[in-house]
Amino acid sequence: MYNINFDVIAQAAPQLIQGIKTTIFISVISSVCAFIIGLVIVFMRTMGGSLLKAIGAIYVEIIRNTPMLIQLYFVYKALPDLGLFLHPIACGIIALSLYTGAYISEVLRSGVNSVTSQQYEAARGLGLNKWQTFRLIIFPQAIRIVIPPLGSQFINLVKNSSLVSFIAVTDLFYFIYKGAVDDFRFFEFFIAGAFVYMTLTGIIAVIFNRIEKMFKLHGREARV
Amino acid sequence: MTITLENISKTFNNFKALDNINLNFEDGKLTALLGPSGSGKTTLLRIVAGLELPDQKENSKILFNGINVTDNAVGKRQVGFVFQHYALFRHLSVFENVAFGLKVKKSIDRPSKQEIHDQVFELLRMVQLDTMAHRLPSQLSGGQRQRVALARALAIKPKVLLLDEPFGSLDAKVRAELRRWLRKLHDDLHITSIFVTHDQEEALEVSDKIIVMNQGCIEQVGTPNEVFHKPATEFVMQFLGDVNVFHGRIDENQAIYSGNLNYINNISENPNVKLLVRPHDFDVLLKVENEKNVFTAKAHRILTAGAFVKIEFIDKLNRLILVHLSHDNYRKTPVNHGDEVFLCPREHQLYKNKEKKVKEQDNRFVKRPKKRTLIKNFIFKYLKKS
Repeated sequence: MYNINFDVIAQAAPQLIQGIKTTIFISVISSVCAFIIGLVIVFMRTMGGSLLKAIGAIYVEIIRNTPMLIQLYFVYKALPDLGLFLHPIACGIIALSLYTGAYISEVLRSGVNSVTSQQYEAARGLGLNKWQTFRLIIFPQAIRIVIPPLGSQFINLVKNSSLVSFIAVTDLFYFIYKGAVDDFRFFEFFIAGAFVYMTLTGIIAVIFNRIEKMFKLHGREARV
Repeated sequence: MTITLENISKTFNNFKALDNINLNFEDGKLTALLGPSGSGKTTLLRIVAGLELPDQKENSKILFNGINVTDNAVGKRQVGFVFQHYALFRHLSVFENVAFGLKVKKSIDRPSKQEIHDQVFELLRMVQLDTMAHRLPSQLSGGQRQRVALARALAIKPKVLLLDEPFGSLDAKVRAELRRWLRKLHDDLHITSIFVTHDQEEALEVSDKIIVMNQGCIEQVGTPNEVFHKPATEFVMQFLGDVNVFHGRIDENQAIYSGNLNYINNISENPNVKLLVRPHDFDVLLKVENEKNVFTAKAHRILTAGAFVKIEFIDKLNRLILVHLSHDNYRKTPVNHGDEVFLCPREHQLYKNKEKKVKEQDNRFVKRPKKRTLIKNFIFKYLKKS
């Protein structure tokens, strides 16, 4: 009979905490980059000319239709062939940002498309240029609609960040797997790992609930 | 500011929405574009605003005070546009909505914060919404929203105010109220204004001048009085209120026969005519001396509730005839259900019957070869060569 013993987790705690730090570091930076990429792509696809639109669409389709693992290995293994050597963590961040950015741009695009064309015309009539229209009129309305699905994308990002352990980044998953293999304690380590990931994503869910309430229009104080 | 349109056409895919429009909007006047849906009135307004571009033609021009603005974008034309569905910025308060056009100006032209605040509140007082400056558009009623939209359009001090069915989505009572209010506002501000409507009553009540449109063409331009009392075409007559239509023909004695109605007139080119009579232009007579210019009809339905008495008559040819009588006249000639009386048209309009019903059907679809056919021809050409 297999003896479940969670003490092994306590012994591996210092390593795991180091892994959590790396995972958080990668996730936070990738989140910011992914959101910026998503914004740029959605601006290109909704306000840009036909060339920018095409570039945005091609980018999104390439990223969406290829496995993330290939993208990750491409950045890690194929870019050096072209003479670009990057730290594994940097590779992980780039791949994660590109991957999630594509999804975020799609989420944002659905929000932008839900803003009626009259809002664009009203803005144009008041003398706004494209960038002002997007920044001041379209985006603030679109973002409110897509906050919940946007939260899911960031949660996915944290979970997908476990893939970076494949390119020798010592993140949370790396230490979980290492600990499990070293001690032959798969059950304990994977349960503990799942629990930690759930805590991290749970924090994101709470943050997004807050943001959703913050952005809610009803009962907002007047700015006169 | 005077606005002049020269040879403006607009084609959507293969649909001709506007067909060579030439118009002049006078300075400081409130002009109504009136027409049924699909007549091109909104398209015309959007072209004036610059939200839509007219078809590229050498001689098509839009002039503001004699200056060609055809290639200017909306922002440069200094027009205030009020949309049918308000198009308020939902994430901004009433104050922010109105202030928006001022806040986004380039820093050289932008008034100071205090000036913006004062100007916005002056506008809000004008539209009677200064107590609701902090509310969001979703917390306002339809009429209030439309007034915010108007204040927002006025905030940038436009030289032209364009309103696209401004009261279209409001209920009748609020509509009538806003209508009067708009007229008063215009009398105070004297901004050249154009407003689109399909409601003839609204156009007649509010505007200085009415442009009646139908199927992408202008039917008549005139004051409300002119278009109502001297309609240039049969369409204008039919569109502006109820009409009774009598099909008839003119004989050698220049009398018009239409069923049992014979009527003296002095037109004698085309024997087939239509006689159009408004419901309030009938005299109801209980007896007559000679039977000229009158016909008999039976009262079928009588509605006495309202500002005037509405009576539906049915004549011997089974045509339904609408008659509006003042309560005074109704008391003089009391008609009961089933009574047979004489009807005498006081005023009427005569229109020639068209030979064929060409205009009745929409012939504005321009035929163009399909893309697929074009590509097919292209491929065949190359196959033959090789």
